[in-house]
Amino acid sequence: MITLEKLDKVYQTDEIETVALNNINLSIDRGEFVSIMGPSGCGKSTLLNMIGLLDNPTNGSVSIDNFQIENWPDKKLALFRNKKLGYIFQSFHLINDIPVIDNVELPLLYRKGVTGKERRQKALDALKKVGLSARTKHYPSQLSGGQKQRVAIARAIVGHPNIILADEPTGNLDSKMGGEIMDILQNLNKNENTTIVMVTHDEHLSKQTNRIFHLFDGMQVD
Amino acid sequence: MFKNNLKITLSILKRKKIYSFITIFGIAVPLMFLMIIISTASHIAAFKSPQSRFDRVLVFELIKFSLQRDYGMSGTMYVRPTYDFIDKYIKPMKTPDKIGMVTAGDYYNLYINEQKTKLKGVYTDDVFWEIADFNFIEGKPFNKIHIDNSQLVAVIDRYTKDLIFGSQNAVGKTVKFFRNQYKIIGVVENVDISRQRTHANFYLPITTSLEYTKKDIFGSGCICLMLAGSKSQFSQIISEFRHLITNFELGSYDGLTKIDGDLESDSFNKLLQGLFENLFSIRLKQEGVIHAAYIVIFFFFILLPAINLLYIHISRINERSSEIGVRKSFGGNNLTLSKQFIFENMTITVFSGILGLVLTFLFFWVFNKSSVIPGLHIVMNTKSILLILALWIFFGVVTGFLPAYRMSRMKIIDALNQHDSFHYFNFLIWKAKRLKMLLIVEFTITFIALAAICTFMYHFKNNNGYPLGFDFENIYQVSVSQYDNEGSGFFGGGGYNEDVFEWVKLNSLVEIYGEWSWNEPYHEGYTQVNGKVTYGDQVLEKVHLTQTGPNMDKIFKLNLIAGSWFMESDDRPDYNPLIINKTVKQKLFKDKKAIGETIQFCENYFTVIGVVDSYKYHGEFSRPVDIMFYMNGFNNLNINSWSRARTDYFRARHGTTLGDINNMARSVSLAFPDYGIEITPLAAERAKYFRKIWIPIVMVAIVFSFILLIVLFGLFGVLWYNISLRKMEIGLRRAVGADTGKIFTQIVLEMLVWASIGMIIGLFIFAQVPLLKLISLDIQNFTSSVLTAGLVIYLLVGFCSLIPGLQAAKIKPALALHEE
Ligand SMILES: Nc1ncnc2c1ncn2[C@@H]1O[C@H](COP(=O)(O)OP(=O)(O)OP(=O)(O)O)[C@@H](O)[C@H]1O
Ligand SMILES: [Mg+2]
Repeated sequence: MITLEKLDKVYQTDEIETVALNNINLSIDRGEFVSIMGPSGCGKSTLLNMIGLLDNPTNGSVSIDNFQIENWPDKKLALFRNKKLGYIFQSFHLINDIPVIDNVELPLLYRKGVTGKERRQKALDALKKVGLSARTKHYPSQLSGGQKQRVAIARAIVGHPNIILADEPTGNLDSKMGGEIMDILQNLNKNENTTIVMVTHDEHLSKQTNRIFHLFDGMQVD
Repeated sequence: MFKNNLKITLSILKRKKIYSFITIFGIAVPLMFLMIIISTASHIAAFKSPQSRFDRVLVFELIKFSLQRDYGMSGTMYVRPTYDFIDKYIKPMKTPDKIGMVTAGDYYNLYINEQKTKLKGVYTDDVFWEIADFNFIEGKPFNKIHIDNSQLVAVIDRYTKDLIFGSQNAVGKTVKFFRNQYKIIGVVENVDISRQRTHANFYLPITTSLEYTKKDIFGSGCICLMLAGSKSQFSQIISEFRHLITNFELGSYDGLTKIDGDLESDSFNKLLQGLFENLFSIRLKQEGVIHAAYIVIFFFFILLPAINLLYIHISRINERSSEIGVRKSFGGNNLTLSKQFIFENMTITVFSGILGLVLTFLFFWVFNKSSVIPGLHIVMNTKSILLILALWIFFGVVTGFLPAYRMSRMKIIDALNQHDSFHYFNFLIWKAKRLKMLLIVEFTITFIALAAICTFMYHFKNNNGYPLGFDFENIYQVSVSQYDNEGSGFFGGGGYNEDVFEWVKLNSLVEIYGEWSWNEPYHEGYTQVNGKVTYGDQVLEKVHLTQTGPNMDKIFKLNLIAGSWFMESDDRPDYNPLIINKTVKQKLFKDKKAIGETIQFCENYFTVIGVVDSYKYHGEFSRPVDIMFYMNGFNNLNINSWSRARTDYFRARHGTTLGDINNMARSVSLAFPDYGIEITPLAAERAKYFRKIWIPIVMVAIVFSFILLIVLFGLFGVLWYNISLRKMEIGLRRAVGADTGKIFTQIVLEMLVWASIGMIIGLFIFAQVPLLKLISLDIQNFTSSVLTAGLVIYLLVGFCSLIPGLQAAKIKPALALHEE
């Protein structure tokens, strides 16, 4: 359901050119749980951004659900992201000015036909899943790193997207809490057939997934 | 969506309380100023009863005479057209629909139960009532029959009616105005003081006045009003009038032959001038000053707040770019997000608009209630207020759109990581650099404004540095005007009566008594009597003149630095004593002795008998001038053929109270009922003068503080924003060991650099602007003005940095880092 063909990503800065991804060919089926591994700076987050349609590749193509995504108008793309994709960012990216519950509700805010009540209920459910029911009225700056990460996870799962893109979702958590988050993701994968792409440095976690994709210096190594 | 947007907006405003407060207030206050100015202006300019038809009225107010005498005296004289002149030459004009007239107004002291009330009375003809549309509460106006038969009938306003008759009807009763008993035939609604062509407390038929109906072109004159059928006929009327006035043969009037004059509609500037003259007797002569005022208003009341607003909107978007990234990744499309941001801007705009409106209402409520300016009752003009609000909201949308547009072009990933990736989209990038450009512009404008204001202030201050030259305590001024004087017109004597002065002189309260003509202390006349003085090969032009007599040095404690003052015995036919001031002495005689020397003035020779240190008759803040005193008895100067305005002064005996003086004035008024007699303390004249001086100062001070306020809001916002953006950086710096002082200094220093750049640009512009010439202020104040303006700005920056700086210094490293 996710197909990357001959994907390149080159970052052009004033002086240097960084090749973050080099000729990536990857195909992920519906319901697969794939983990991406590799040393720091090898292009894992970049790859996730490409899959997540957050940035345009320099060369090559991305297609999701057999849609070749190229030059889509903003509105169509936004709707697509909203329905199909859920992100867990490496550095959380929570909105500091609004409370936790509103942060979690965010994806539903841009979805038609969801009432305020439903939104709240779903957000509370998602927060319950990540064990943060007691912190709904807090602001992100009042949370610990692990708690922030769990809010980011709740936000990613609240809209039941087809694909979850998780950039080190357990990076800030202890092994017990990490295990719990892994369980949540496993459950979504098993019960709802959610496709999950997860970046991790944790061998133990990656072993629980269907497939491991190794990256080194922007290139795939098998 | 509306509810959601509102929720988001409110929660964001709530989260940043101080910043929101500054934002909203920073917009509301200038908006209030703008609304006050526009409401007041539209109140003045509105064609409302009794001047509803005045958009079709042309006004002929002054005849211009140019006077040129061979011996060096010259002048331009403006005289109002007389009843006789209008009746004979103007009324036959064919193009206007109606031609009426009204006098400029005379004051009459009405005594009711010992209580003196000063009322303004005008004389009008019958057509005046057809041109104006008064609101009659009782009765009706006077008509052609009343005018033709000089019938003693009057129309009064509600205020006067209430004053004299209380709740009773007034029509049919008689009241004494000036010299006659008038029968009241009508009562009109009070006329606002800003309706200067029609405002008065009572209206009398012009033919009942002896003074205004004299058959002499130099008699007391009127304002002639011409009603056109429509505005399009103005040009026809004006060309007929110009033809008439330029071909007018005056006959021989002491060398005068030609006259000139203008026919104009009441422009807003003229109305403003009229109001100022009415209220403060200040003459705003130069149109340039008024236009400069408009420009100032535009810049400071619209442009600066607009810059601040734009700045705030842009910084808000920049600050929240990560939020935009997040919202976009979870399905927010550009349109929805733009809507949200515009909504936020609108909410802020509307909030501040409403606050501004409320503040304006409050201001006018207090203004009208307290009648700060009596007779001026400003009704807020809904149309103009709505216009400003609409404009403001439009502005809010536009300034909101700009950032929203920029935001919609942001790549998600860059927004998330707060990159600025828009090098290809240069003109809309509001990078930090550009924001600083805005800041510099603000500093530049502020600097120029402050420097201009300082120049003005230093001008006053410098002048005040020269000694006044006379005393004002315990001195009283006696002035007499005859109500409805039948004397011999403009070139004749004034309306005074020797007997009145004699009566006062003999009063036991008077210690020393003297008489003065021309340029008396705190004189405010526009006539400047001056001429050319020669001594040897030294020639001095434009020397001011004043005529006075013995005792004046004692009454006014004049500071004689050489020679002596006039004595009774100096009044000899073959002897012309003269007293000069220090500057005249220096210019004519240099270091030589002046006393005893003979100098020539006009065609006469004078002997210098004394030198005074200084005499600034226009008051403390006026520029010192070259001035000479000649003696009362001297009558050979030709200037006496101009109306000689005489004012007498006396120094009262020690311990005299104002009550004593008032009793004295009352009894002399009873003894001479046909004269308006005023005995006023010179200190009161001084106070009047100061009031007049204070008005421009207060206005300048308001503009000054307003500018400071705007800049304060702006700077405050900028600093606040900078610090909130750099919280993490600050936290980090502190974590690695930078101390509070260093961070604080760094923030303030950076601000000072921007301020300095702005000021250098401002200085460059300020040095070019011929504004200094326009308002003819001293260039010598340039340096001090520039320095003061600079100092003020630096202080402002310091002050503004204080709170955000302290805030930054208070940031705990841990907290800052926690914010991401
Ligand atoms: N916006 C950008 N501009 C320029 N270079 C970039 C940009 N984003 C990433 N890079 C570079 O691309 C390379 C890949 O970065 P990426 O963030 O994908 O690494 P990563 O594998 O996620 O590393 P980590 O495990 O440390 O998160 C790095 O060398 C990085 O410096
Ligand atoms: Mg990464």
